[in-house]
Amino acid sequence: MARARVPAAFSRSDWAYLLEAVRALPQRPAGRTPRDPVVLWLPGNVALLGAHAVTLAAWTGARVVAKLPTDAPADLTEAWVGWLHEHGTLADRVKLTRCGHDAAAALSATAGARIVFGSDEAVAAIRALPHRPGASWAGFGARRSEAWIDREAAHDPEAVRALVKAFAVFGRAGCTSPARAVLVDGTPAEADALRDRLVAAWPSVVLEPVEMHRASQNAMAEQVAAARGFAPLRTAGGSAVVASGPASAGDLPGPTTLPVVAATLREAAETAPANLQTVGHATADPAAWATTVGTTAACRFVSLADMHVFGPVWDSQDWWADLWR
Amino acid sequence: MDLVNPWGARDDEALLDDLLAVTRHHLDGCAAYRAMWPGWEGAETIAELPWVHVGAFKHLDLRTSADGLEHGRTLLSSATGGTSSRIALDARSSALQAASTTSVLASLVGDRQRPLLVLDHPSALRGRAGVAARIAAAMALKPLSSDLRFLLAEPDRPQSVKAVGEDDDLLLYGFTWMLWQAAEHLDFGGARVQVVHSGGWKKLEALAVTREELDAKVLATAGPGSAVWDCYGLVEQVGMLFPLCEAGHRHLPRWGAVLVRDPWTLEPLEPGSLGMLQLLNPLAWGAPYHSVLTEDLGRVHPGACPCGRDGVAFDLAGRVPKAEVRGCANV
Repeated sequence: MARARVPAAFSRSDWAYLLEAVRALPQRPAGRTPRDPVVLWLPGNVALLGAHAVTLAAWTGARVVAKLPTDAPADLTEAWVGWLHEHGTLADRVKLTRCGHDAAAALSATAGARIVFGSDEAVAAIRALPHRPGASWAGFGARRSEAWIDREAAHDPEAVRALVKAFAVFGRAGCTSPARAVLVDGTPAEADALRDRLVAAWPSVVLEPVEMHRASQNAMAEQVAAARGFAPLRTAGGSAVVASGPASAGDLPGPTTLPVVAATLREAAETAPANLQTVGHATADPAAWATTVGTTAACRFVSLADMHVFGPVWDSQDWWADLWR
Repeated sequence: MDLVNPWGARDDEALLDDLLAVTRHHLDGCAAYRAMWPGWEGAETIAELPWVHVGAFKHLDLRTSADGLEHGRTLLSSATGGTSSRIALDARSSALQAASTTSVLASLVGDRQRPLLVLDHPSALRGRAGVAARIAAAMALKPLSSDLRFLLAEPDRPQSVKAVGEDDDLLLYGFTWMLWQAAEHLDFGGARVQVVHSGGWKKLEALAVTREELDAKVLATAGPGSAVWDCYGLVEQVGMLFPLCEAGHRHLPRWGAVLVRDPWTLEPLEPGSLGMLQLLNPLAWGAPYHSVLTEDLGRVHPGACPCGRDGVAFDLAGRVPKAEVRGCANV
């Protein structure tokens, strides 16, 4: 694919991600035909995921119909598909739609493969729609992720920045975004110190000012966190709240509130949510944690930098391989 | 506490003393509030007083414990964002709040008693777990009424307006949006009507309905001396009403305070600057909702108001623009 300057709709990192996704397209299996058409129900505002999924689906050679959420604003998937159309690559077979329920049911009935990103309820509802016998299915429901960081990494400026970066992309909105940071084998005082380093690092990682609504919500989140026994700090300009507290404490509100807890590896696993998807790690020896991570629901154990990297295997489902007969 | 003559001369020093007293009361009696403001020791200006973000009342059941203080019902906001704010009411605060609203309303509609028509259904009174803000606002007019009549034949159907009766001097309260929907069905038969509404303009703004259009439609069948009063208020500041004056500004009763904060830094801003409104009053003793940082944008009006009322005026400029937070799980 020809090098191109970054189109206006994308940030440099978004563009880099999508170009890398194209470079890393999997090899097409010999002697097999793609299921056709592939119908995708794309997620709310995690747009890179949608763009990547559409690319992988179209790479099979099948026709692709991607349903965007009806009330979501225009997102990167549309811009990406538009760019692909313009450059004559893949997208001649890709159609984007914001159809209603009846039309979506008709799409389901004709799909050779159905792939859904949504709430558990939405995934179940779409699964129950009429469909062709033999059509493949992949459903990705509500999941949460965490960042686990060891005491050495907590003092490593690059690891701290990586954690800020992993969290700042989607805040608490993305399934791959760390909803909690665990300082493995740390003390409460060390969790407080990690919180301080995260807050200090934030302005150097997140350069754009936050929207007014988010700043306001973070003011609220800081107060609720304090009321619930956390020790919160709001970043400069109100972009985020980082709150140190006990591992056993409940969840916190706010779109960019990151709880930081000190816990043993076992406590981290025991207090992890039942719908844990990804553990992003910052440790010199991830293998030492792998067994414990395996006792949780997590199906991804990757570095902090790779938390948001989507791929042909997702949530333990080999969904791209299932696009082939 | 002197809650008469809401537009009289202000005594900001006395008000600060009152607000300091109620703030210390809540810090002593509400651990959650104390946790929000752990280092606070005192204030020399109103801007240095602690505040609670309006959204916190959706996540926390804040209550203050003190000798002689007993909580009763819970006031619920309308859940436009999906979750209601919960305000724990108590007898002492309710009495102060009722006196405050009566004083403000009487200054607008007069203090003679006449029938109160409520643009709602009697079933609205029967909420057991909480008191809906809508009906609480209507009941604020009850001390000025000779009798109370609900105008809707069916709950939540403004179009089901019943006949208003034969009286020639009336009070009417309705939520702004419901008033607009009911207006064409109202027939006052030339009676003098003082209409009070609250609840916000969001839906009417979406329809491009102006204040003048609403007033004209509501009063189409009303007689001379009728008026429409647009009162801004919020559950988290129950007891305080901020009516729109003839010059188009909101007025602050002299026992209240307002300032504006930068949404990003939360620092107080000078009069005339746009920011998030913080509203304060010394009426709330059962829970720390005496000083609330709202998500309403506005400006403190510098200088005297052309309407002639003394005191502080401010202007509303909409709400903090909301961006819906969605994630993978939102289809």
